Amino acid sequence: MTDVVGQAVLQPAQLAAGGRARRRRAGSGLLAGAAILLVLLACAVVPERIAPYPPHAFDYNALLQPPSWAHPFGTDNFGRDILSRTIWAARIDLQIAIFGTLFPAVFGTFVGALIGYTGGLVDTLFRRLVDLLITVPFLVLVIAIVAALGPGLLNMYIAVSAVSWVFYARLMRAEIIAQKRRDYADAGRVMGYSRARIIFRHLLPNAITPSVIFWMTDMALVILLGSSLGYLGLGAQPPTAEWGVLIADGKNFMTTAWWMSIFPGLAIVFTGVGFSLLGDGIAIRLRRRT
Amino acid sequence: MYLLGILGRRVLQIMATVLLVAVLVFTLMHLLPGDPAQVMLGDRGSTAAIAQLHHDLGLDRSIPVQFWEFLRRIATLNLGESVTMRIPVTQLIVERLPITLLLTTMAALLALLIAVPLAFVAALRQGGWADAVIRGISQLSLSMPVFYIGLILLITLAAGLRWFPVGGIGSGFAQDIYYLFLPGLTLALSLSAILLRNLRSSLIEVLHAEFVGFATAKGLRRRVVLGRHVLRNASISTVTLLGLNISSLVGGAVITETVFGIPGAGRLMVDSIFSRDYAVVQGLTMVLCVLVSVVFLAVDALQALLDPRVAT
Amino acid sequence: MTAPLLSVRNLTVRIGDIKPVEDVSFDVSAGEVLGVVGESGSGKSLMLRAILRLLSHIAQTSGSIAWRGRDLATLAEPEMRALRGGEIAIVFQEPMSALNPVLTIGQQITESLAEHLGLRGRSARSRAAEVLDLVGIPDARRRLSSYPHEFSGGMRQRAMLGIALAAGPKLLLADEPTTALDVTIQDQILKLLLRLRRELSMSVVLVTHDLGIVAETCDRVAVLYSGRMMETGPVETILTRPAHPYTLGLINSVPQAKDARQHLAAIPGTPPDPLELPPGCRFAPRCFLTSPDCTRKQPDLRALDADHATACLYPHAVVRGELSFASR
Repeated sequence: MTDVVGQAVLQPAQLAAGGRARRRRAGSGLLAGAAILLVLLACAVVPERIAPYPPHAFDYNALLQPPSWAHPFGTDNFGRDILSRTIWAARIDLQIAIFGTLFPAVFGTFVGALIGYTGGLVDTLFRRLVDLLITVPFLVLVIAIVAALGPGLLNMYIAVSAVSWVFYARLMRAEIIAQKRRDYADAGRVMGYSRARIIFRHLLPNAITPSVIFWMTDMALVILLGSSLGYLGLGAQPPTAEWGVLIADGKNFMTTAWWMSIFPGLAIVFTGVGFSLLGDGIAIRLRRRT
Repeated sequence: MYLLGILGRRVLQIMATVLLVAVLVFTLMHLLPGDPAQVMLGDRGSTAAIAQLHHDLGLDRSIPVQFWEFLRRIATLNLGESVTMRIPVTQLIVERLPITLLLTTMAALLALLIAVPLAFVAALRQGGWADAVIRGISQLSLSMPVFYIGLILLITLAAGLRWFPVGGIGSGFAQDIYYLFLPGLTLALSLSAILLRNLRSSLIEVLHAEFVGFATAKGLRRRVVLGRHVLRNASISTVTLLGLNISSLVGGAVITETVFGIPGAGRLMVDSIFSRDYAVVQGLTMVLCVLVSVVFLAVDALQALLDPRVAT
Repeated sequence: MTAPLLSVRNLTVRIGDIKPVEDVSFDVSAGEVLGVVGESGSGKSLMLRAILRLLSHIAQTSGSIAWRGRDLATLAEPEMRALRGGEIAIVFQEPMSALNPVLTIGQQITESLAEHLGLRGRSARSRAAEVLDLVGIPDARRRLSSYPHEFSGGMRQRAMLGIALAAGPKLLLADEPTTALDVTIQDQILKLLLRLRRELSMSVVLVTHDLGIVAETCDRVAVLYSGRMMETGPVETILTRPAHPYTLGLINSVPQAKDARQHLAAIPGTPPDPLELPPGCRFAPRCFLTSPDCTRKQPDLRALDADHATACLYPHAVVRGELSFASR
């Protein structure tokens, strides 16, 4: 058990030994995360090579079969192989991760950098906007927008993008404000560099690290959101295979065919763990440089 | 007192936010395609009947006028009448909100009950296997969608072992707690993972702080050092985090109420969005908003109480 | 001569593969101020913490530490706890980090009073106010409810002293208590320490890197280099007739007030990397007196006379002052 004494007394050389061990573990996390995502990428890009059955293949002779060698994840009420549907669904869910975060990340980071550097009225307005968005539950807002536009993946991307760019902007704004105070920013101003040049070539590269890490986390979160909406019937629409939809398919068969919901859910967990291992690994690598 | 000044400013901020929410909600509702009158009357509605309903509901006035009416009524705490159910919105909210409040409170308490001891164990045995296991499980539950956790709990504990009911609520407070335990636990598991991560790193930071060493060097018992010095300092940021996560608790409540079939305000919100019931959506959002803001206020006050550096 | 209060023999602190403190021995008598001088990295802070057994989970400690005749290694944890703060107290360098920011000064004093003297409630608060008074904080009663950040630097250090001394310990371990303070405040705190020594009949181990402070306040001096004790003796003797080249080097490196422009006589080289220690005497690579004997085996601390000991093989060459770094 750690003593409650405070290790402030240790000299740098003494702490170095501990640090080396931590960095070795971080490296393996990064590899594991990357490996997981590669598996998912494979499932997304070439599912036909990996999945034993096509996703929509009905087999009325094998309804609601428990897991077996023929069907490792069992079958659903239409006789479709759950493993195959889960593999095919990876494509949709990874798309959700990318399209649900790409616009917010790029747009939000860009706007956040500008706001952070400029300040003033724009900054005040932005902070009111942030107040607003942290008060209203994110899910409720997204549901409202999707309900307005109609269910479906594209509308879900629109809904999510419309709201989550603010969080990226907030993060980048805070980072830029912190970087702005550092001496090298003053040096840039003194040398007469244009504002844009200072922001994008000097401040941004230093400020970008938290945003990249956040993006990794956000991708996992967007999959959770997308599958939640899929479960509620607002995201991907059946018969499209998406993990949330697959789980919803199994909702009425919980007691008789638990495998219908459980396995696709494990895929979500698997993906989430992959993203967070990757994110943590990148975080440790990037922080080591600073 | 300086503290009152901060709180006063906060209240004004809240009012501004609530106003903005009103605008947002109003705009969103009126952007929704679909006509509540038509939804209500369905196929039976003749054009004349729909027009009459429009007039009754005040939907035929211009938008600015409708908004003004909306604000005026809010000011007098009259949230209007549900478009689809023809009962006062206030009544609906009073019926359904307490259940959601009970659910979220239980979730918050359970989350603390889970997170605090585990964070301590993880922090005190940092780097050991207990720490790794705790962090691993916490990471796992963060990667699970709320509805999935709910389903697993349903399948195993309710349908399978029959320790808990499968859904709905009971009659009376005590029964409600029993019925809401699984849904509360569902929400608590994700929330506790977030709190755990934060509390663990706060604890680790504080454990290595010089004042903890000084306290031990004074000859204080371990229990006193951990309780009075370590926990108090480490919990400041975690309490704040808990408060900030209120709105995601509400969002999670929406999902959980759906999975467990609970007639709470979350379900009401979703149903009303789908049935284009403007009045309920507006009223409920305003109420939720005010509640969340009050929680933020409480968090600010609590922070100032726990950390005397804030007030200066 | 009465037996020393604190008697440290062959104290060694091991962390992983390195020994930041090795084979250190010294005594502290009642009512005496012992100065421990060394550069950063010399192990002085670890040494103090080792005495109070505060390192048990990050380091292995060996050697004997005798307090009033009892070997501290034999004490069970509850007894050790009673000792800490009750009989031996420690103060740190930076009061802002050493004081809990969310508790009042009063609370931080009374918790010590409760633990060691069983005082609670009103009597505890009274005594706490007395303590603040003793360390020279004006308006003591009211200041009990102040928080650390509401004090100025010097006041904070006084408060920390008050907290440490509340239960009436007989030995104070002071880890560079004035390093983080302005020079004028430094002076006040040192005078306070001397006053407390008198009024509370206390001994003090004062760790510092500043020879000036040593000259003003200490009765005896111990010189630490790279974790080993190089020389111990009365302050007069050490400062005028040092018996170790390192001590001589330290003395010579203090700028003299007389000349406007001087050559700064620093000791050439830097302290050794703890992971790559030189063979034999650790100071040998930088020493002007080395011989092959110096690098063969680490010299032990040897008594020159009753109260002066050195770890140099050629102390008389140093004492005669024939050679000095500045004259090379």
